Amino acid sequence: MIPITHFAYLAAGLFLIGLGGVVFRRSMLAVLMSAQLMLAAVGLLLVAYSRWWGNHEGQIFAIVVAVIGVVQLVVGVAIGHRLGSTRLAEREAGEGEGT
Amino acid sequence: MSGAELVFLVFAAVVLAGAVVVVRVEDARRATWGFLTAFGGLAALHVLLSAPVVAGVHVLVAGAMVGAMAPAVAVLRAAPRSRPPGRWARVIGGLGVAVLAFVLISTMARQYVSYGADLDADQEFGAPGRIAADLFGRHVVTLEVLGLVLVVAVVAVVLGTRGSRAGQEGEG
Repeated sequence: MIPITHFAYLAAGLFLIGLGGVVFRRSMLAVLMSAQLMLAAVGLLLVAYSRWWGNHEGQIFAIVVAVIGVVQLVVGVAIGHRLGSTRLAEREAGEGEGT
Repeated sequence: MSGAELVFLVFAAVVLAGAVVVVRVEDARRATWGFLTAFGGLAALHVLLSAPVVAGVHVLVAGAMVGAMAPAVAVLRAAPRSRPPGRWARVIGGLGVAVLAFVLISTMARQYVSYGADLDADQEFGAPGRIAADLFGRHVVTLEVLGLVLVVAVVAVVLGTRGSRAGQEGEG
């Protein structure tokens, strides 16, 4: 049998690693992935305590959190992709005018 | 240490290693692999918690995320590296993470001393039928709202991408 505290410590560690990535990384993709790690840690804790209490509320909430995380990442990537493409095009246009 | 605890430790190490790769590695492609590794380990841990439905959702979600990130990875590999954060930003960020770590660990240490509950084996718990019964029964409103949020996100991404492409075609 696995003590519930093992999952709690793992979720805390994963959450802190994700938080470190959000705080210290400048790349938008790294920040989005780090935020997903934080959400995954929360989901793990929800499922662990759902198992402890013997109901399914935590599992359903964890599914909702996971899907919302996908939505967040997809919209964030789309925004980042558009910003990146725009900046790349501007940089190329500026280099073209310079030459 | 029981066999289940050993399996837990192995997958926990996989999850944490993948997470560290995501946070530390500069190369976007390797960070994506670390991300997949972390989510794979999480799916295995959810199976240990008798939550196969949530494990399956994590696998699908990780695949969808990587698929969505693929064009962004390609763009990022073409763009120059951004400037790293300053010294004070690192100090303040590190202090904040340390404070949060202290709060989380001290809270869980009290819980471990007070309760320390173990998980029991229950074959019926986490079965897809029972999850579906709750999801489409008591939580059907949540499910519908989730679907609406997904539709709104897809429409927003499609419209945003189409606007970007129309702008580029106009300039060309």
